[in-house]
Amino acid sequence: MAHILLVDDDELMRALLSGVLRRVNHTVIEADNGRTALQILKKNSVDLIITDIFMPEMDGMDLLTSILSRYPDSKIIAISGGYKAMNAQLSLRMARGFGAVDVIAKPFRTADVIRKVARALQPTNSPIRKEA
Amino acid sequence: MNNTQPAQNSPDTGAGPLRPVPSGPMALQECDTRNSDSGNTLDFAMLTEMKQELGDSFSTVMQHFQAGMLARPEKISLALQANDPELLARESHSFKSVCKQLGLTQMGQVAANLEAIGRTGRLAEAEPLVGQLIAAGAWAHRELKKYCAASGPPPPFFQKTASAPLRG
Repeated sequence: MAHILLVDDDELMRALLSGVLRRVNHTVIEADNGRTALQILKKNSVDLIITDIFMPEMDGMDLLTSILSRYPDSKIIAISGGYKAMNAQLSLRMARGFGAVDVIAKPFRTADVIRKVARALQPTNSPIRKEA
Repeated sequence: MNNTQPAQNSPDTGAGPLRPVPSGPMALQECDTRNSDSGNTLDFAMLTEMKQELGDSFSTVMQHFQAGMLARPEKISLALQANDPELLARESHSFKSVCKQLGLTQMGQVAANLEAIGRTGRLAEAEPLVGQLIAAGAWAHRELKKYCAASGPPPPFFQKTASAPLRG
């Protein structure tokens, strides 16, 4: 199945999401912030990136921009529960504007995650290749 | 015995009408014996779905969540003790999502209120809310443990009694 990079600063949410994704035979690489995610992408090819939006260090919106500037064909799903004055829907709309192929609002149904991941993985784009 | 603390919510924290909850060593015992109508319950539909989607790893993931129900409010409490509003906001923000993922909306709201308090820096308002969160976290820990110990979906009576101690 697919190689997925999962980026979330919350270890519980990572445990939940990676458990769900591994259950359907995806390989999951985890990162707890955007900087680590970028390091991982230098060394690994992935088919899909799932990232939380609001994280310390480097947030998901910056990560989204950075990834898409380096790997324009990337497939990214953004996840958010909202933060400060920005609610989940607004932040996810922004994420779509920044190039996310799909978005997931927290709290999420695990079945929705599987469905959206399957849809995002449909073969329209090439995988996100590591840097040569 | 009257060791309750009133929850004093500032209007600009976005706090709802949180009722006072017991605090101190006897508080949890008191909370457990009540059939609360607080409306703050675990989302059993969500848990059952997670169980189906996670399969064998459900118990492992739930062990993480159970531990988090005790550890996260403790981290929030430590942030408050350290007088660190930024850390308080960050930890509360994180715990808010975890609570809501389990259907613990009222606990999630308390965490959201603490996040707002952390952002405004008015830490004096945080103490009663942290007390509520610690008590409710202990309750949620036990309910998750009960749910995971039971095989199959919970019986209907379980759903009616599984209410968090976020009330007076």
